[in-house]
Amino acid sequence: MVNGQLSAAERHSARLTEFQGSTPGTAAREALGMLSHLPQPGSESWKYSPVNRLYEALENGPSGSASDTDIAALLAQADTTRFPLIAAAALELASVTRVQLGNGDRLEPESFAAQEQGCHWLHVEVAEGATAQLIQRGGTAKGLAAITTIELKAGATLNHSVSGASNSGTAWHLHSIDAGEHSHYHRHQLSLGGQLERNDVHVRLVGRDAQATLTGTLLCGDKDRSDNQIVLEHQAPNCRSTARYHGLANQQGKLTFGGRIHILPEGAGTDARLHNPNLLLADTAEINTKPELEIYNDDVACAHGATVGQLNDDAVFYLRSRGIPLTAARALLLRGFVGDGLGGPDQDYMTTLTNARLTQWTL
Amino acid sequence: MLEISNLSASVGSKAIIDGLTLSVPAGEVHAIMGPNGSGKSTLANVLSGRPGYTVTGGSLKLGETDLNELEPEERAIAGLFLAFQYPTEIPGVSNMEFLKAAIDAQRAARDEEPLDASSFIRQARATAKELDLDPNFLKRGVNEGFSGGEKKRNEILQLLMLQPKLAILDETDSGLDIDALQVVAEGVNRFRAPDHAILLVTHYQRLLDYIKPDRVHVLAGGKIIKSGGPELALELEERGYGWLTDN
Repeated sequence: MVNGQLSAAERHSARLTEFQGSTPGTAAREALGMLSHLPQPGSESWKYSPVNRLYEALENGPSGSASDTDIAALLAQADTTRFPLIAAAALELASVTRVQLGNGDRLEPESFAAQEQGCHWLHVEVAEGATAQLIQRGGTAKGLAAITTIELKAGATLNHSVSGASNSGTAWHLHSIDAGEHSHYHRHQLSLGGQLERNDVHVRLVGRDAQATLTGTLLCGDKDRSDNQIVLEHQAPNCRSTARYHGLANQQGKLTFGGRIHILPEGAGTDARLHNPNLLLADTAEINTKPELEIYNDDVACAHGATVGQLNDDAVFYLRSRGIPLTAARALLLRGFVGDGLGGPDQDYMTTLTNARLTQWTL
Repeated sequence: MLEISNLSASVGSKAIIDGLTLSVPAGEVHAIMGPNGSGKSTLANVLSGRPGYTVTGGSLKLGETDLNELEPEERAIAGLFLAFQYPTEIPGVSNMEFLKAAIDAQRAARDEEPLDASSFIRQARATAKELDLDPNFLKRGVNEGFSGGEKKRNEILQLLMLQPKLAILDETDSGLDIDALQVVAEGVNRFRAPDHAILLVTHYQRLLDYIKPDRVHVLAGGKIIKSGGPELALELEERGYGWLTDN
């Protein structure tokens, strides 16, 4: 493993030398140093995703062209201790987009698919007191890392929809959100899986009275792998977070959910809730779920839970007894299970994608 | 309308119905009474085609249609409706969406024009009101968080919206207070018509004070052991089932 990483670092270093000159910049050297801390295959947070495959995909993608300033900015923006893979993405950055959203703004950046391969970083700042929308759609191309960092200034509100269409790619999506004082972050997420899809969401409630509401619908079929890891980090007093992710696995899909509420000593008065109900629709499908709490303050209210079940036979019969055919009854129940997971500014698009997939599954 | 002839049925490997014969003509209300465990609910479930309930002999016909050949949804389309003893809660699927899906499916299967959305909503609201159900119930998840009485009224709402030929009410009176019982009974009485038949499955005579049956049958040991007019129900209320089953 050590050899593998060293050679990877050497390759990155050689690529950097091409466009940064004979000596890589300070930030680049820092990033190169971080490569030796990449997660080990099979380590706890990468138990269900082969991290080396993602890493290979990053390496084999087109070379990055980021300036040392961009690399430094990315390393500073997200938590590299928790996500050392950021270092590899930073070294291969193909594009950097920075946007500031004011009150009433609605941003729909180009879909990930349109950007094709490589590593892309989108940084969104929501201005103080502003209410804005961010809509991210699109599939995943081979060997792609998409990093989205979001900063909500004091009193800002962001309604954020993220949907990924399934395809044959390997992808790593990292969303890192910093919510300032009295800000509200609302996330609506739809994932349709992929050959290997890893979605990390890291919400840091950094200002007092910040709130985060996350809903997600995770569908995983075919032979896809979808690994979704959510971290809600309460760093300031009186913050509230709720996360509700609905998972459905069918065929030979392998769906993983990890949800962690992490309350720092500064997080007095926290109210945090996380729930992950799942339906397993086939004997050959797999669901792994792990809700976690890590609490360093006594003055908190926390709840977390996860369930894995099957479609309720009584409910199927109830619908059939009213004349609804079996397949339609199953589809209705699956849509009902997903239910309120599909809200937000891009609800119609997400509903259409979901219904198409669920219909496909029940035929 | 409903013709059951020498029916035998089992749940899993256990035989419950054993040679039951019953005929319910159009326009009539028949009550099936009997002690606990006599097979009343099994009969209701067998008629509706619930998975796990197997017909092992005899026949079941609704008009000219052999019910035993049909899937549960096909029985509904043929005109059979079961009001459940324990209606299932379906969170996430609204009552309105569910009713619309049921009506659309039934009309489509019968090659009828679909019901337009506005007349559907108007009709659903009016029917809910008649049953003393807040129209907001239509927006809520099917039976989700409903009280026992609300669930039973919701069954009658479906009955009145779907207008089947035959309604089977399985212990619809259980868990109802007297006010709710009257509302439910009024709903059922509104369904009474020359081309409709009703089969009431009940343990107690109480319901029959409000829905007057034409015939009363006593089910015990999986078959009908006595039939009579409405007075039979009163006699059962007074004397219990022992005098019939002990012989």
